[in-house]
Amino acid sequence: MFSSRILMGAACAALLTGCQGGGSSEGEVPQERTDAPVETPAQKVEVDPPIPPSPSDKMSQGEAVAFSQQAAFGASSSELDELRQIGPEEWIERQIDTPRLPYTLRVQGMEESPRARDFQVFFWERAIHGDDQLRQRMTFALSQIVVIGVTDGTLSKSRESFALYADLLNREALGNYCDLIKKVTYTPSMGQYLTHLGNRKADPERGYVPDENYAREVMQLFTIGLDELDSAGRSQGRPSFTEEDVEALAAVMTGLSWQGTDFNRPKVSEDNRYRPMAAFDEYHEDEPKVFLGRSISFGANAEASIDEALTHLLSHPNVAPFISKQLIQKLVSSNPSPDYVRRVAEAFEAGRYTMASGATVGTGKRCDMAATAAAILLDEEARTPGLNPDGGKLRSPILRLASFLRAYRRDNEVSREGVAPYAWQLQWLSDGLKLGHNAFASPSVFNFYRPGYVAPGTASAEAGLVAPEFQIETAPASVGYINLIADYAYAARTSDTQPDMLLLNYDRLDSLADDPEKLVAEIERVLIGRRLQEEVRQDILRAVDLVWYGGDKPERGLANRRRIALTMALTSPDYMVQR
Amino acid sequence: MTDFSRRSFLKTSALGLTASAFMPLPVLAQGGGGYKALVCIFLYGGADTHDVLIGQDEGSYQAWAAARESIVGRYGEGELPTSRERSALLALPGTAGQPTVGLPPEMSAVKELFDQGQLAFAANVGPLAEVTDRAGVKNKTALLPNKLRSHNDQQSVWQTFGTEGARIGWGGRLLDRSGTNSAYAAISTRGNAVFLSGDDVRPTQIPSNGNIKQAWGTGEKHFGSEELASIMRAHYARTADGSQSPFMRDIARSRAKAVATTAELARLMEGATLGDTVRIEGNGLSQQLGTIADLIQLRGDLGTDRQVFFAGMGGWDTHREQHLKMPVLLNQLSEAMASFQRGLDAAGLSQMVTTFTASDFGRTLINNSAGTDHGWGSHHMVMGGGVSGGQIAGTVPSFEEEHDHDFRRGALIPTMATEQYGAELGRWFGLSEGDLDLVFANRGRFDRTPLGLLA
Repeated sequence: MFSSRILMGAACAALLTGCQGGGSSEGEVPQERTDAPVETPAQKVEVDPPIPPSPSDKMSQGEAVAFSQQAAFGASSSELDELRQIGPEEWIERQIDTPRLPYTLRVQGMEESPRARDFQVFFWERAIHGDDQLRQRMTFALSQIVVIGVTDGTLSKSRESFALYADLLNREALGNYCDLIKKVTYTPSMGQYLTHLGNRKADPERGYVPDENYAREVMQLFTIGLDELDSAGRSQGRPSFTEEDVEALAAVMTGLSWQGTDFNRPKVSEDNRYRPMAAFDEYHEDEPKVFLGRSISFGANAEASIDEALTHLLSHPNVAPFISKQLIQKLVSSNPSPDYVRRVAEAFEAGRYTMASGATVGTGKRCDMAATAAAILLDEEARTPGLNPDGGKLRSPILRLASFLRAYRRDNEVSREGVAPYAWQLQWLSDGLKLGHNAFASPSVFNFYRPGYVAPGTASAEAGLVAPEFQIETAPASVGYINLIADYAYAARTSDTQPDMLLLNYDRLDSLADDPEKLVAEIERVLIGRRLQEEVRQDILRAVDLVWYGGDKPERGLANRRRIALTMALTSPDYMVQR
Repeated sequence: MTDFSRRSFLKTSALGLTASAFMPLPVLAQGGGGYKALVCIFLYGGADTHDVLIGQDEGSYQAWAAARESIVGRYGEGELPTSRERSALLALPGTAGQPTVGLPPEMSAVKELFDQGQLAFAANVGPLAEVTDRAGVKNKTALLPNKLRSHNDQQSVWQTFGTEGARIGWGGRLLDRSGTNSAYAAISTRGNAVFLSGDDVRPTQIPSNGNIKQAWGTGEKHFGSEELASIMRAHYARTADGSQSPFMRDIARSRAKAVATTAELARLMEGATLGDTVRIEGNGLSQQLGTIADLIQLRGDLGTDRQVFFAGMGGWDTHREQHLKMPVLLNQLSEAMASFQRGLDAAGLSQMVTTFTASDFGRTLINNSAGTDHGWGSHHMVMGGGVSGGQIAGTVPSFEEEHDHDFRRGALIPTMATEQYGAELGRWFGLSEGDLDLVFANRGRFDRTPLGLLA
């Protein structure tokens, strides 16, 4: 008998012992919570005091916070100190050289087959603990454009192959977008997701024709979009491709399947699950195809046809503004000015960006992602809040949570082998009662939210603006976010059976919690970058003041104060919106 | 008449929630005739309704089967083994001059509703810029809707008549014209759906299984303090109207509303029992319909006698493995709809609720090697006590190749515009012809004659 349960969001007990079995079974959600006191750990971790701003800094503290929210998944206090000192240009240069952590090796280091949520945990490990922040941030952005949802039913049968896709995104995140598209076309998990794996040429006798799924979506979503665009990414009111083009490209995308096995009854094994698909010419459409005005006539040579078609598609002038604008939306601002889009698209096309210092970023090859990232982040429109009055964006739930966790994390190594670490709730985030959002978890190839989404009945809609992240801002998700923050603002749970990746260090905050003004100022310093809206600030100060601490365990009351302050600050519009 | 307003509103005040734009005084709808609710079941991905109304007379069946030769024989292979043999189909009564069709066996629950007169089909519905046919398409003389066969755009078109980015849906508009401005008039169990947004009406969302959690700190006391709980509530309710940033103003309002409506619904849903009789374990659509049943049961407390609900079901984009996926999807849809209707019937609500399906588009009749591709026109179901069941409204298209309404590969050019379909539902909902013309702006391009789907 179903009964509706109303749970007040409050923390579970026991910091050191696993609560209620943790995340060990599929579908389980942490249950009953109480306001029972928490045992804080005996040892205290030394926290470096913040380095005060200095005239030699390249950025102010506020600018550093803002930059870390655009270019990374936020930053800890000491990382902000470093960022202030070296400035954004040198940070980007260092980031390009920072090594990345492959998903494939990690998955191969597991004894059992990974579950969908393991990939999500690996993503969060890298987002919170990884040093290659710019790459991770760009990977996340790309995963929302060239989408594969790891929870897709077809993928569940050979989920390891998802690692190849994750690594491809990760590599090309600061590599080359056009190479990414060519390679992802051959990635088995994309072949399964958009169904061109095993796609056959037409059979006039049996009456079937090639599957159009990948052909349509690679054009509509991954390269040129539905409309002809100008150099600033604005629609010219004409379609960019026809149904005939879809049919032709569908015919090109035939004959691909798992390497080294039968096309009709493929066997997936260690020999092919981490490898690109192979071309089986026997099943490739050998008739000439006319695609976007180009005749593709390589007969049954699938690789040549595919390469020709993709090279031609990727040479379309739409690609640079179409992709650049979406990347700007993911990193900086939902409604970039046309000139901002143009400048970034130019860097994409040129494959190179020249920084103010004169140093350049990028290889000079068209579609360079490092150049594009630098162009996005170093543009005056990104670095000067308010320059574009329509600038900024609602931060997605993932970004809001990640930058909080990253700021207060206990430093951990990203795991290399074994079971996925225990990540307390991070693997359940797409649940409608939590954030309704998670990495690699899109319900369809269209991502959780659309670049062109307009939020009905809002001020932004009134102003003619798009607000993509509002598409998932439902009532349950809104409340879910509050409750999740309140949970993490208290303590992390740990596991008896898995290594932990989500231990948080609130020592500095707790040491200031006896003084509400200092507590709030410290949260502002690291997470907001500026003063909170005055009424919000006053609410927090009054609230903290009402929480008692003292007796023989004052640290409990101080922890409660910290929790209230963090929850209120992190649910303030000033935190949720980046400017 | 329901006696709801004063009691529930006073309770709301006792929780300390401030009266705001989200909690208006309940207003009775103008439409009269007691409570009415529309329930939209949106099938995401473009449902292959050629696998629902299947050619059943010999010629039609042969043509249907020939178009899908490589998948027809494979429907026995999945987790829900079934058949597409002609003898297995559940035949529906035909109309002279049109093909006879039958339902697949896994939709027996729908067939039962059909036979009992509670369910009807609307054939070949879709967005149209103007009435047209194959000749018009081939000669390029026809005006066609934009962005046909693009999932996100067609989902938007079905809900709003505009492509992606449109802000106002006809579900919301029906409520606008009904004169209701309750915060609970439009509720989705499937996230944000522009269908429910009107010019004035603002939808709210509820978790699909009705399991509501309230925001931390909004109980009677927080950390033992009533004052602290009051500060927390004020914090969540605080708007940022002084901010320069429209996004800050928007997120503040949206969050304030979320916390307030969540608290109210959580309190009310404690008393709901109807959903228990409706929900089928393991059936996601049924979970949503159960939650909707609960909300309908609570209609007296929600302060409106006109509601539009939105539920959704994913997975219909069957480019591949159609023979494995469609049986499960169709069976779940069928069972969920039947269970919902039975629950409503038992509660005496049959006449008050009309449920209907919608989808991005239909699909091609001619398959690819393992599935079907994006189409245009599709067949839909309308269910409820007010439905003139046991019929197929509109024209069942031919299954022959290159017939008059074959768009390409057997994807259909619609013969019933979504305006006509929607207006039929809106008329039942209580709107006048004049109001229907306002909600469905392009209605004048199509036949205004009622379809006879609803009494």
